[in-house]
Amino acid sequence: MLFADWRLMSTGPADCYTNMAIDEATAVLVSQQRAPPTVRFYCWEPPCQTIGYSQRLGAEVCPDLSRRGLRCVRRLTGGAACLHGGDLSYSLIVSVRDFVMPASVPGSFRRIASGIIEGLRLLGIDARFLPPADIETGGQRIATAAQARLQGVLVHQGSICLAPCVAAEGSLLPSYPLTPLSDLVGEELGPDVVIQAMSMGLRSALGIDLSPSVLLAKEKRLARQLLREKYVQSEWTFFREPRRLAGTLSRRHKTSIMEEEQKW
Amino acid sequence: MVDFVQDRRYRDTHEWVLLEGEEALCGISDFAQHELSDIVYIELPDVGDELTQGDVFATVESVKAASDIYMPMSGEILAVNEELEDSPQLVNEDAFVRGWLIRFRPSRPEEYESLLDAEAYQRQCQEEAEKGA
Repeated sequence: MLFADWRLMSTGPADCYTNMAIDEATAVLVSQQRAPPTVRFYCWEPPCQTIGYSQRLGAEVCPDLSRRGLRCVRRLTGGAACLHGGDLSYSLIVSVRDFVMPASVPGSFRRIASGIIEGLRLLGIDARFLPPADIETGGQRIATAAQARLQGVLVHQGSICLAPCVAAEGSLLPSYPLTPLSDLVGEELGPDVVIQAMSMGLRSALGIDLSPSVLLAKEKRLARQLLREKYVQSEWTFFREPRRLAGTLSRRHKTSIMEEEQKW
Repeated sequence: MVDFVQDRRYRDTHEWVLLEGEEALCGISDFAQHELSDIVYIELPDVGDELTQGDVFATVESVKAASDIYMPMSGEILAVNEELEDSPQLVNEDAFVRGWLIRFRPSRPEEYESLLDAEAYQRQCQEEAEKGA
């Protein structure tokens, strides 16, 4: 199946496991050409920490956060740990062969960032790309991103800081690496306003049509399965053994997908 | 300047295969390492793993991007390039020689014929480089 338009979704707040499971489910369906290229906006509830696909757990992942009850999940995408809570996140998922996207990793980061920068301009913020993956204004980083390329699909996960990240007990979380937009514009920017601006920015910068949509039923089913079998499992986030999982994960995953396909 | 070495074949997902008797060496192409940019981490399979053509056998992480690498042919992993554990940048520096990823024994040698020769692969890379520009 070929898709002329991209899909635009806003799935609201969800926990970290659910958000990551949805992204992988979408990536699987896009890789099978059973879902169109997708831009999804979402928030995180409760606040959490995500870590990069290849990241080793150590001093970089603040142990204090888990003692404070902050959930942690490993992403599909590369890069380092990131706190979520006051941010608006987005995922852009498209075939690596799509003509819109440069083949190179740096080129695709820059292309997608140009859409976010255009969106920020619509909000009155003059920002610029800070390679390899950040966006800054006035020397302050306000957005970041990370990518994965799997099964012929580019998964780009980005985070735009809207407000300070507050933990469940009400205290500010430490070491948040991004400056909130609310500090820059002097007022709180709600997710809906920012989503509208970013959607317009991405449409304009990428030259794509974005059609409002929702998760497909098969996407929800696969996300639930991935949530259950992978993302809530501590083995995935805390005990992943890189050398062993490179092969076995893909085989197990392939089996799961085949089982899921049979249900469809 | 991107190299396209003539003595081996390529999968359209940018892996190369060099046959050496009944064994084969595999890595990613010079074009691929350029597109990935600076490689900081490589996850390789276990020796003894038996994989089929198209299976993910490695993950390469470069500037905040984790990318799957696919088996160009079916076979059993005989060795992995241990040097890459401490020096993943070897793939950037010398993708075709010191930056090899795995040595494997092809279980379906006829799959080699399905791979691209250097000329066809170069054409594919040129098309990819032009898109999204």
